[in-house]
Amino acid sequence: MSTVIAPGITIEGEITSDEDLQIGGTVRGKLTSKDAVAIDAGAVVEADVQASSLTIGGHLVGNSQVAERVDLLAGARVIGNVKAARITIAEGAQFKGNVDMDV
Amino acid sequence: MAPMTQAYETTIGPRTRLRGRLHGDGDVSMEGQLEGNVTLGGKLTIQEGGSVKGEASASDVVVAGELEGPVRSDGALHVAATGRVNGVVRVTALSLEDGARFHGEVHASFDLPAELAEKVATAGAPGAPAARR
Repeated sequence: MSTVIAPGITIEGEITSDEDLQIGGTVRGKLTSKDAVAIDAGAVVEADVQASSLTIGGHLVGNSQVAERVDLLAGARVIGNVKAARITIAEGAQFKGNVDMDV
Repeated sequence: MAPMTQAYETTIGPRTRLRGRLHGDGDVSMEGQLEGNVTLGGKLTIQEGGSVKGEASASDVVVAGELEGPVRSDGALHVAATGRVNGVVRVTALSLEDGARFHGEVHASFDLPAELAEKVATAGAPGAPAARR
């Protein structure tokens, strides 16, 4: 069971989810998931994000608060603060913001 | 993660709630809850258990769950046996399965058969459904 937002689809508002979320389209607003969130290459997310884990290949503008791990893949572009227990930033990812690993 | 080339369709899962606006091209399968408006170039399917509270506009609309709000479509609205629709419906075709629940108005625009169209035109029968185009 999961939610998929395909390229070409835009959601403006609030998303609240208890299942995996895959985003290929555009999301503006607020995104809260108790599960994994994936922002695919080509996707645009302008939202504050809460998730158990977050994988970013696309664009994210907003702060994220993640229980487990955040992975910025090559091609990712992130502007915002990231709070997570673990974070990886691949070569080729762009990132502007603060990292808080809660140490 | 799915490769970018993979064609995938939008599905709002049963444990997802949206508040706001959902729009764009392509089809959407709604298994979760949406409070707000949907405007789609493609087909909107509200699955059993899914619900939309707000305006819905799509090329075609299929409701097996719940839809509360006005519906506008250049295509058809189909309400499945498990479906429930409450609102004003402007479509070119409407079908209700046995068991479907519908409450509201229907504004369907379609051509009447020639002999009926003539009757309506000459009689202008009060209460007769007007042929709208």
